[in-house]
Amino acid sequence: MSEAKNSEIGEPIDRPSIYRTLLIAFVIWSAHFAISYAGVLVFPDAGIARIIAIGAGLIAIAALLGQVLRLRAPRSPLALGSLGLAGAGVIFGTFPAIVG
Amino acid sequence: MRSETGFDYSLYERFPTEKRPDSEVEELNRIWRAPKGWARLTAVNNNYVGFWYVVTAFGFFLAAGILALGMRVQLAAPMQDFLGVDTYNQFFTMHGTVMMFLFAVPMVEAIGIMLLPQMLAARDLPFPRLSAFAFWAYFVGGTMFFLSLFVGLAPDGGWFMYPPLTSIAFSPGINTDFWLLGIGFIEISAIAGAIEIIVGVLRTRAPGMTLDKMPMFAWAMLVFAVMIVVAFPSVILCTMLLEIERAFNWPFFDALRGGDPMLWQHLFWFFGHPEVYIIFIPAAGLMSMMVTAVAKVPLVGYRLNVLALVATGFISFGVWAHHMFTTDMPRVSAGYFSAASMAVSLPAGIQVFCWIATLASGKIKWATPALFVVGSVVIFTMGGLTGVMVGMVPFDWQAHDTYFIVAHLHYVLMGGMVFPMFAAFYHWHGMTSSRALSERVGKWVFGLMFAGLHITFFPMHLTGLMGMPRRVYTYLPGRDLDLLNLVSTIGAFVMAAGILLFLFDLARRFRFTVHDDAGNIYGGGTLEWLPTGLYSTRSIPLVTSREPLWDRPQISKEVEEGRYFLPNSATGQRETLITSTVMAEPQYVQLMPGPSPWPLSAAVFTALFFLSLTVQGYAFAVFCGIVAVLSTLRWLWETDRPIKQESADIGGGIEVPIAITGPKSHGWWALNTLMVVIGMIGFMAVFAYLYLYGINPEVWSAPPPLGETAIIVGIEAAALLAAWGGRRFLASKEGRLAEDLPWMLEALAATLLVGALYLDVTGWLATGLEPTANGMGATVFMLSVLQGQVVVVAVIMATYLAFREARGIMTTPTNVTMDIVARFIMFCALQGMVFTFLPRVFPGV
Repeated sequence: MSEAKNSEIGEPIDRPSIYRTLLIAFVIWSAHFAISYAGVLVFPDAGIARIIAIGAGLIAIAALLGQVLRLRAPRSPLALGSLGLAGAGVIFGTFPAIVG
Repeated sequence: MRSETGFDYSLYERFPTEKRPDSEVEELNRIWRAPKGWARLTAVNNNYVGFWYVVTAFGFFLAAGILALGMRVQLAAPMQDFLGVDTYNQFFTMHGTVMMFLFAVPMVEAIGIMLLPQMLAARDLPFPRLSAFAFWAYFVGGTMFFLSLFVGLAPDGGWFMYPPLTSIAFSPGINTDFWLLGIGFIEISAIAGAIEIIVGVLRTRAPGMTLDKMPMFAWAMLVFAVMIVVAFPSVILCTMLLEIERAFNWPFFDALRGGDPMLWQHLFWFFGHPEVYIIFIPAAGLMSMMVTAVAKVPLVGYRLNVLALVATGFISFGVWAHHMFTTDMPRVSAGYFSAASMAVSLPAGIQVFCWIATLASGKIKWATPALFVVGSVVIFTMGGLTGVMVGMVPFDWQAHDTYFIVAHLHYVLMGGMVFPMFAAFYHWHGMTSSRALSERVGKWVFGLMFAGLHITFFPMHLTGLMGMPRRVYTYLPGRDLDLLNLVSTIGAFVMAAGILLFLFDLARRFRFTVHDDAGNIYGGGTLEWLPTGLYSTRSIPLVTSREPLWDRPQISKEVEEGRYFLPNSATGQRETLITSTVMAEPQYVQLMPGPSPWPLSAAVFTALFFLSLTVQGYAFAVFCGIVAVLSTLRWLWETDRPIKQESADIGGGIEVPIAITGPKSHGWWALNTLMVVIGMIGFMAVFAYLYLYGINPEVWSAPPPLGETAIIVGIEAAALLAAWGGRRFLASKEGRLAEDLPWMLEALAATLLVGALYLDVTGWLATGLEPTANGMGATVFMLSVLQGQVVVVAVIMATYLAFREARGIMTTPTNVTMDIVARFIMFCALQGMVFTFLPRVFPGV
C-alpha cells in the first residue's frame, strides 16, 4: 500500500483555512438555529418570530457566501462541502418560518 | 512545510535513528511494571483500566439484556403474570437506564481508553489517575445503582424520569432518588473520561500525526468527548433540580407555583438526543477503521467522513425537541426541530456511503468483523429511515409512544452501536488476548444476532402502527397483537442465544494478556498494531501516513528497536511526549503518575457520599464527602512534583523541555475543558431561569437594590484581580522562593468570593424571596447553590496551595498547581458576576 493511495483531492484538514472553515460553517448553522428558536420562544404566536428566522436565514446565507469568497483559489472541496452542508441546513431550517 | 510551533521539520530526517540498546527496554519494563495481587486494583495504566472498563460495561449490557428478556416473556402472550406491574415498571426503567447510562456511553469511553494510547502511540492517556477514578466511580456507582433492583428500590418512572410523575407527590419512595443521584454521579465519571480523551487526542499524538492523518476513531472520540462536555452538564443540572425539588420543596417543575414540568423535558432532551449521536459517533469511527481493514483499501472519503462527524456533532444539538412534538409546542418551532432532524441524516448518509464505497472498492474477506460491519450498515440504515419518518411532525403524532418508536430506536442503537461494538470485539481482541476467538463460532454469533434482531424488532413496527403503546405490562387478547408479540419474544431469545454463544467462545478461548497477544489478526494498518508493552510502543514512531503499517511495513521492527522518539525513559520516570494540537510537533515531555490507591478511594467514597444522600444518611454522607475530598487531594499531591532536570533528549538529539505551564501545556487544555463543563451547567441554569420567567412572569418579584448589586459585583471583580495577582507575583519570583504572597492572594480571592456569595444570598432573602416560594425563588437560589459549589472548591484549592507552599514545593516562576488554582478562582469570580448580575437586572421588576 503506498502513500499515494491515501492522497485525496484538495488541501489537508490541518490547514488553518480548512479546519477553521469547517468549524465556522457549523457555528453559523448553530447561530441561525438558536436565533430562530429563540424568536419563537420570545414571540410564540407572533409573525415577528417568522421574520426573525427569515432575516437570520438571509444573514446566515450571506455569511456562508462570504466564507466561500474568503477561500483562496483553488477552493478546497472539503471547505466548500462544509459550507454547502451548513447552507443546506440553514435553508432547510428557514422553511418552517415560510410555510409552517 | 509550515510549522505550527516553530519546530524544525528537517529534524524528522534523523529518524529512524540507529538501533538502541536492549537495556533501555528493561528499564521501560521496570518503570511501567504493574502492581501484583490485590495491589493490581491500584493500577492506572490504560491496558488494565481500559480492559476493566470494557468488561464492566459489557456486564451491564448483559444485565440489561436479561431484563429485556424478562419483559419479552411478560409480553409473549396477553394477560401474562410473569412480572407484576410494579416490577415491570422497574424493569423497563432499569433496562433503558442501564443500556444508555451504564453500557453505551461507558463502553465507547472504555474502548477509547483501551485503544487510543496505542492508536496514537502515546505511552498512556495524559491523566491516567483520572481514567482510574472515572472507571472506579462508574463501577462502584453503577453496581450500587443496579443492585437497587434486588431490594425493590429501583426507579420506575421510565429512563427519562418525567416530572410530575417523578415528583414527590406521585413517586414518594426513594426509587426516583436512586436514579437522580446515581445517574448524576455516573455522568460525572463520563465527563472525567471525556476530558481525558479530548486532551489525549489533541496533545499526545505521535509526531507527524497531523489532523489529516489521525485515525478515524480518534476523530470520532474527539467529537464524542466534546459533545459529552456540552451535553452532559444539562442532565447533571436537571437531576440536581429534581432532587432538590423532591428533598427541599423548591418548585422548579411544579406548575402550580411558577415552575414548569416542560423545563425538565427541555433540559433532559438537550442531553438526551445528542446522547444518541454521542453513542453512534465513536461506533462510526470504529466502523470507518474496520471497513478499511476489511476491504484492505484506505477509507474512501476520509475528509468527507471528518466533515460528517463534525456536522453531526453540531446539528445533533438542534434536534432535542423532536421528542416533544406531542407537547404543546408552537408549530413553527416544531418545524425547526423537524428540519434539523432531517438535516442530521445528511452527514449520517455521507458516512454510510463512504463505508459502502470503501467496501465496494476493495476485496472483502468475509471474516466475522466484516459480517458485523456489513450487518450494522444494513440495520442502521433501516433505523435511520424510520428516524426520518418520525422526524416528520404529523407522523410522530401518530407513532409517538408506540412500539414503532421502540422498533426505531433499537434498530438505530443496535445498528449504530451494538453491532459495531461486536465487530470491534472481534477486530481488536487480538490486542488483549493471547488466543484468537473462533471464526466459525463468530459467524454463528453474527447469524443468530442478526436474525434475532430482525425477528424481535421488525414486528414492533407493526404492533406500534396497530396502536400498541410503549411501557405497558400487558395487553388484551383478540387485538391481533398476540402473534406479533410472540414472534418478538422468540426473536429476543434467538438474539440472546447468539450472545450466549459469544460468551461461550470468550470463556473457551479469550485469555487476557498485556505481553503475548494474538496480534493483528485482520490486518489493520494503524499504530495500535505495533508491538507493545505496558509502556505502549518501545519508541514513538514518526507518522507519515494514515495507515503507517501498510505504507512502511518495516516500521514495526524499527519501533521495537527504539529508532524513533523516546526510545528510553528520558527522566527515569513514567512519561509521554506531548505534541502540538494540529500538526503534532514534539513540544515537551510530560511526567506521568504511577499506580495509586487514592483514585480508587476517592471514587468509592464519592459513590458512598451519593448513596448516603439517597438513603438520607446525611451524617455519613458528610464523612464520606470529607474522605473523598482528602483522597482526591492526596492523589493530586504527587502529580505536580517538579524535578531538577529541565529538558530531555527525546531521540535523534532533539531536546525538549519537561512539564511546562501556560497555554502550551496539556493541563491548560484540561482545565479549560472543565471550565466549559461548569460553564455549561451555569448556562443551562440561566436558561432555566429565563425559561420559567417566560412561562410564569406573574410570580416574578422585585430584586434587591442596584447599589447592593454593584457592591457584590465589585467584590467579585476584586477576587478576580487578587487571583490574577497571585500568579503574577509568583512569576516575578524567578530564581527565588515563592514565599507567602502568591498563595495569600489566592486565599484572599477565595475569601472575597465567600463574602460576595453571602451578601448575594442575604440580599435576596431580605427582599422576602424564599427558594420554596415559587419558580423565581427556586431558580435564583439555585444559581447561588451552583456558585456555592465552585466557591467551596475554590476555598479547598486555595488551602491546598498554601499547604504546598508550606512544604516548599511551589516552584518559581511558574507552577502547575498555582496555574490551575488561580485560573479556577478567576473563573469562579466571572461566573459569580454573571449569576449576581443577571437575576438582579433582568427582568428588574
